[in-house]
Amino acid sequence: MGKQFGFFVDQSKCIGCRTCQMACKDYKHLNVATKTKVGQNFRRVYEYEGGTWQEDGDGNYTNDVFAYYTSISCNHCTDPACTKVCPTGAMHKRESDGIVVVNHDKCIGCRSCEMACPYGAPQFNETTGHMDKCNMCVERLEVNKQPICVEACPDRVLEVGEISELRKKYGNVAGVAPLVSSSITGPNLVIKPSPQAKPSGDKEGNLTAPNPQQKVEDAVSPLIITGDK
Amino acid sequence: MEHSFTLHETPLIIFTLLMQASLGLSLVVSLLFVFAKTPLNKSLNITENGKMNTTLIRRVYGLAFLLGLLAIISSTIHLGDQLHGFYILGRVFSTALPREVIFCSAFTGCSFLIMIFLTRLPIARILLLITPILGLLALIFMSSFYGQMVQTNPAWAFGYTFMRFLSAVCMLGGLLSAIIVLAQIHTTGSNILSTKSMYATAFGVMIIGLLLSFIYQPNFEFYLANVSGEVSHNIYGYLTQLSLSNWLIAIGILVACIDFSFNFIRAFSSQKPSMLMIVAFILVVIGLFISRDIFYALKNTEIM
Repeated sequence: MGKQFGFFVDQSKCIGCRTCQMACKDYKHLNVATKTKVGQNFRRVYEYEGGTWQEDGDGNYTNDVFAYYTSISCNHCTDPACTKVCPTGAMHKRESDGIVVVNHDKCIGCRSCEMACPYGAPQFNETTGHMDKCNMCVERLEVNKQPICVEACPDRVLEVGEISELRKKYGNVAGVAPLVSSSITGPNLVIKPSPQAKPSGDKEGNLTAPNPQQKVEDAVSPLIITGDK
Repeated sequence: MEHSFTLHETPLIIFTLLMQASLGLSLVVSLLFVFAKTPLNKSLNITENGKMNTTLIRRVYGLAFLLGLLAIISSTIHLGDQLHGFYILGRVFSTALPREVIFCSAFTGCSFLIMIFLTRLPIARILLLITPILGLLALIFMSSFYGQMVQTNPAWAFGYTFMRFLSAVCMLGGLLSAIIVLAQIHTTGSNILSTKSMYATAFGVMIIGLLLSFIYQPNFEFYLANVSGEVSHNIYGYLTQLSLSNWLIAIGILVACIDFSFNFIRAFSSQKPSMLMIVAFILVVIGLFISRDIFYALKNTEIM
C-alpha cells in the first residue's frame, strides 16, 4: 500500500457557510436540485444541534443548547463499506494513494455502495446511470493543487494531505456526532472538534440540516423555484 | 410522520416480492413431496392419473418461472447501466449480490426446465430436488446482501432480514398455491387426494409465514430501538405505514383462513374458484409492499 490521503476538518472554526459544498458542486458540474430532489452533493455540511432551556427553581432559566457544523465528503476509508458490496468491483480503492474512486466502465448503477456507505458519499448520477463520488479532486492533487473544497473554504477549515501527517499534527479524532463511530470503516478523516462537539452515537442532539427527507421547496422559497415574482 | 416511499427502490421491492412468491411456490411443492413420503412417481401419480397431477405441478412451476422472470426483469430496471451487468461474474466469490443474481436466475431457469421435463422421471427427480435448494440459496444470498451491510446499517441484520423474507416466501407461496389448486379443481372438476394435500400444505405454509412474522417483528423493533444511530431513520417515524402494513396482512390472512375453512368443510364441493382467496392474496401483497418500502427506508444515510 502506498500513501493514504485524507481530510482534516477544523470543526471549531466552521461557520456552516457551505462554500465548500457549492464550490464542489460547481467545479464537478454536479446534478442540480429539482423540486423533489436535492441533487448531488459530494461535500455536505451537517448541522447538529440539541439541548434545552431549564428553569432552575428561582425563576431563572439556564440552557445547555449547542450547535455545530461538520463539513463532510468521502472519507476514503481504510476499510470502505462501499467497495465491499460493489458487485462489479467498479468502486475501488487506489493502491497508490488510498483514494476511493468509481470505474465508470464497470459500474452498473445498482446503488449498493450508496446503501452501504454510512457517510452518504457515493451518489447516483441519473444522467449517466452510474455512481459518482468525491475523488478528492485527484486531478488537482496531481498538479500540486488543493481540492476545490479546501481551496474555497473562507475560514481555512479544511485541509488535505497524507493522513499520517494530518494525524501527527491534529490527532486522531474522527468519531464526532452525527457521524458514525470511526471504528466501523476507518475513515481517513481528522476532526478538530468544536468545543460543543458530542461523540458518535450521541443521543442528545439532532441532525437538523440537511434533513434527509428534505425537498428543495422545504428549504428554498417557492418563489425562487418557480421563478414567480 | 416521515415519508418512506422512495420511487427508485420500487423495482427492487417488486423484484423481492415476485422472487419470494416464486420461491414460495417451490417450497409448497417441495413440502408436499416431503410429507407425501411416497416415491416421486407415486407422488406425481404418473402411473395412475399422470395427466392430472403433473398438470398441477407444472402449473405451479410455470407460475414460479413467470414470477421469477418478471422479478429478474424488474431488478434490471433498478440498474442504471444494464450493459455492464456481466462484470458481476468476476465478483462471485467476493460479495453477495452476484451470488443472489446467479442463484435467482438458476432457480428461475430450473423452474422452466421442470415444466418441460416433468414427465421424464430421472430428470424430473433431479430438477425437483435441486430447484428448491437453489431457491433456498437464492433467499440466503438475497438476505446476506443486506446482512453484509449490518455494521453501517443495523436495520438490515441478516437474521431479521432472512426471517422477514422467509415469512413473505411462506405467505405468498401458500396463498398462490391455494389459488392454483382452486383454479385446477374449477377447470377439471377433479377432487383427488394429492390436490387436497397440496391445498393443506399451502395452508400450513401460509400459517408458518404468519407465525414467522409474529416472531421476528416485535424482536426486530426492539432490536432497532437499541441500535439506531443518530443518522438512522427511526422505525418510529414509520408507525403509520407499519400499522397499515400489519393490518392489511392480518386481514388478508384472516380472509384466506375463512376460505380455507369453507373449502375444507365443504370438501371442495364448490365449482367456482373462490374470490376470497384472490382478495386475501392482494391484501397480503399490498401489506408486504408497504412493509418492504419501510425496510428500504430504514437506511442509515441518504444523499444529503
